[in-house]
Amino acid sequence: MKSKVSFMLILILILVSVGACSIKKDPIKIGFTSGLTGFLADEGVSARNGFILAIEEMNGNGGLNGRLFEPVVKDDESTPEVGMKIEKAFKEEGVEYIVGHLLSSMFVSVEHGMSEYDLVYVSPTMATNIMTARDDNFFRVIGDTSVMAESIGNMVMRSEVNKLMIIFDQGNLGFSGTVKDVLSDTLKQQSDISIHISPYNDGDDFAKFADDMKKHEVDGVVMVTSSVATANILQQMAIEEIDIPRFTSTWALSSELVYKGGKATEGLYGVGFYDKDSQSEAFINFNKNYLDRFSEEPSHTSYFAYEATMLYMDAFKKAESFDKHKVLKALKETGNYKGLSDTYTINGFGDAERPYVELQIINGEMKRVE
Amino acid sequence: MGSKPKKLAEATIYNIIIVTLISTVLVSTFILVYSSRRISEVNVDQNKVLTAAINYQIETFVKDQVRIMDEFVLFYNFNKNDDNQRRLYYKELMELQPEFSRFLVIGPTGQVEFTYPNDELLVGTDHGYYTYFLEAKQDVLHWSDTFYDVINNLPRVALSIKVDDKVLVAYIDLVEINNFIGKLDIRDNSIVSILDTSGTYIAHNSIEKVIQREKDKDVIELFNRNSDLSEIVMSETSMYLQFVQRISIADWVVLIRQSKAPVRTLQRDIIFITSTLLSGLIFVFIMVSIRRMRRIRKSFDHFTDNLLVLSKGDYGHRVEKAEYLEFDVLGHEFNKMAESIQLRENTIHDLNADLENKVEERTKLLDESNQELRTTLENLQETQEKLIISEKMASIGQVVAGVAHEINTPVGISVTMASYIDVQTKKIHEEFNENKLGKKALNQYFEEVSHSSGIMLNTLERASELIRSFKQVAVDQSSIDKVIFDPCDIVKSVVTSLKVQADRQNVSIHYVCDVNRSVISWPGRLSQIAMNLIQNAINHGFKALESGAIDVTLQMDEYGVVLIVKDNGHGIPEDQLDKIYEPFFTTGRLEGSTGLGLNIVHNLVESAYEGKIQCFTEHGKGTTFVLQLPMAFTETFINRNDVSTEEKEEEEE
Repeated sequence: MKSKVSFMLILILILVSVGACSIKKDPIKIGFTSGLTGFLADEGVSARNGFILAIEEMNGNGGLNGRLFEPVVKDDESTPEVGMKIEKAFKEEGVEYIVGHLLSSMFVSVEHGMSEYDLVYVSPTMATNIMTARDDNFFRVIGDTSVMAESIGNMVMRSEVNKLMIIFDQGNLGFSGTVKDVLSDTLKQQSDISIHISPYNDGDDFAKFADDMKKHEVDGVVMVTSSVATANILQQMAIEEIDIPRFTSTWALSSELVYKGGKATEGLYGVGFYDKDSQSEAFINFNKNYLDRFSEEPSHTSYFAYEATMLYMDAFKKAESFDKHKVLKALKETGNYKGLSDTYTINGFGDAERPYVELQIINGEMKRVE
Repeated sequence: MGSKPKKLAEATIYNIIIVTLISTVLVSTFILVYSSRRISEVNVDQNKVLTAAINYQIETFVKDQVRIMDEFVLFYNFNKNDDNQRRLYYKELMELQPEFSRFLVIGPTGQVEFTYPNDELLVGTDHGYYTYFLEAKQDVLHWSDTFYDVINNLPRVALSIKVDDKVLVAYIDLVEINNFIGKLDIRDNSIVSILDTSGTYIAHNSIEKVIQREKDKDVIELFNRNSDLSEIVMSETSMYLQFVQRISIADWVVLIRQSKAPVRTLQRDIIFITSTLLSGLIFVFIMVSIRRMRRIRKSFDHFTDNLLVLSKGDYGHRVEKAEYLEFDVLGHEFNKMAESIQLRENTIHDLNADLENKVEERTKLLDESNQELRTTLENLQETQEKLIISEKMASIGQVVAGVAHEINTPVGISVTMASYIDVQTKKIHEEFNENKLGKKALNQYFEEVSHSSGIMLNTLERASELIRSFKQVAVDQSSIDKVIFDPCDIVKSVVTSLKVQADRQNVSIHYVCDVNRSVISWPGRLSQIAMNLIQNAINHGFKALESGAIDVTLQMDEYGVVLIVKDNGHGIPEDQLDKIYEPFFTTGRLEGSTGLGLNIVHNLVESAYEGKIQCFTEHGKGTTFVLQLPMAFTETFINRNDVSTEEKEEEEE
């Protein structure tokens, strides 16, 4: 009798053990944050989609080391105040690795997240040079703002502009302020071009900028603004029949710009970090998968967010662990990193060193300037 | 069967537990499966109804907008050049239909020509890349994909239509649809949503999904597989049951995701409640069973105690009344059995006593009979011994007669020769005395004496040989001491001694001996066996036959010697074959046979030698006796000068 009872108990124990063993491990949470609402939402939503695609691809391949990834998406509303709340929320939800933020002005929030919660960031598009060459938990796949500004300066100088208006978004000073300053300095140092600075604030009348151009008789304009703002400014310029060389930063180069700017965007110059005509397999596959998944073309932020997410995956593979210290070490030792369209370097400070590509909108499409 | 017997109570309780547990699991499983199926069916039905209801609401909404758009076109045609009239109309329309947030008139190149509410910034802007312009230019009523109002973060949709060379556009806020979805009583993480063809949520019970422009992967995949969706399509993921149906007019889909969580919670609750109830019942059932089993066991133990008393032989003991009917019946039957046994025991006791008396009486009678029998047996044995002796004497007598006959001739010849020598000697003596004896007569005398004495010597040697054989045949046949002897010689002596008797009946005896070693055994017993067998053949084998032959062979085998006596007489009748060894069985009683010859042979072979005797007979052809006589051989080989016994025999003859 006792032996039979023991046998039954052992059987129950075995069944319970097997049941316990068959429970899957918790997924690794990967955070994403950007402005998903408001004026700057277009870029944020595109980046979020790039991030989601990367996670879905990883999970579709069975995850990594038997662990799946769980995306945790949060809207920072493009404001540092909300961003800081989000860092806390990430910490509370057990998220340690974050893809984001997008706007350079969110560096305050990033610093808060690193110092308070020891979070790790790989930003798709935060180009601010405030974060440059710092040994911290911040990494990015976009080049430094200064390099971008210099690149725009080169294009301006080649286009025979004498009086240039620089419109910069005061809502994203970390980026636009730096571009404005570096661009101004570059032009002052390297040319005789006079500069008129015109700040843009959310809700401003776009027609005002066209009026100012006429008023100040500028023969060139650089818009360090979002795609929506840039499209609107260009539309107003077209209405006022202001036909001068126009330049914009990487920030505005999304599909929304052409859609909302219409023919007014024709001939616009910009600088981007990727070659839209790249024939690399990864780039072509990404475009196809993105279109299949989201029924729309990817934006530049989609590429960056995808690359940022994959940078984490590479680090996890190298570290053979999800331990933060090991992953950070692997991230810092990234070196040459194969992006979607080309290979670039992530240096020991986590800054991407990648060349800029000069682009121009021709017939509604962004083309590389030869 | 060899395993240790189980205890009834424990085995019963164990079986009860097993059966109960299995029943519980089966019942629980059945309840779970059945309830899950029922719950799922009810859910599916409810969700189909809900999908259809939402679909109807949205279609109604969309149809309203289309109707208004038609009015808008009509009004536009009436008031093409009167902006003030148009603005008045739009104002009234927007008051009545607050979802209309903006009206545009776009020129043939895509430039905005007119807006209501008036927006100077928009007028003149290029909307040439907007789908609501591009699609409407193809002369179709077009519902655009959703786009977002950056102020309230909610989607809008543009309804556009071509009028002449212009495109009329109305912006419709989807706040109302979201409000409608938001007001639905959605429980348990279920999802009700509306999506455009790009998979983007335009309404969702979790408004964040709409605000953040999330795109639903499953719906995009569903569209890629099947863009029709005119009927409700149900599918299933690990977490949800999904119901999708397309709203044809606006090219939107209604997606309802019924979370499986409540179903699972309900299933868990059912399992928990069922298990708890069943576990409680099992516990109570087992406890009651154990209690009842204890009482039964107690009653059973009491019953077995009573049986133990009975089994020890106390048939006067009676099983007491039991608590349970079955034990009571058993006890009653056992009592009846005990009574019956007791009754039989008494009867047996009486019978035993009677039997003892009878046995005593019979024993006494038997003793008397035994005594008589013993006396008779003794007489019989005495008679038998006498008979055996007389048989022996008869045999010896026959031998002696033969021997006497054989000796008589040589002795007679010797006497004759001696008489002749005597006569001749006297005659010579007289001649000598008379000096008449010449040389010639003396030589003749010497020749005759020499010849006669030679004949005399020869015949006397033969007589001597006969006497020696007779002596050997007559060795003490009852001697039990084993001695070393040559078996060939023993049998040869017997053959020789019976030769005369055989000759008288015109029977020849051929003797062959292939034994070349001495043996350690009883020569007298071997002699008697050979004597009896050959004599038996001579006396009984050839009755009414003119002549006959007996072959006597002595051979060796691994155990001893084999004696074969074969005659070519008339054989033994089959019905007598099994009686030949019986004492006093004879067919020649009238001729003076005792019927003991073969019996003696049989006894000597099987008892003294522990050997084997076989008889083969065939009517008209003769009889063969084969006797295996175990005996030890010595290491001494006998040299017979390469002349077989048979040859020597013939020479002698």
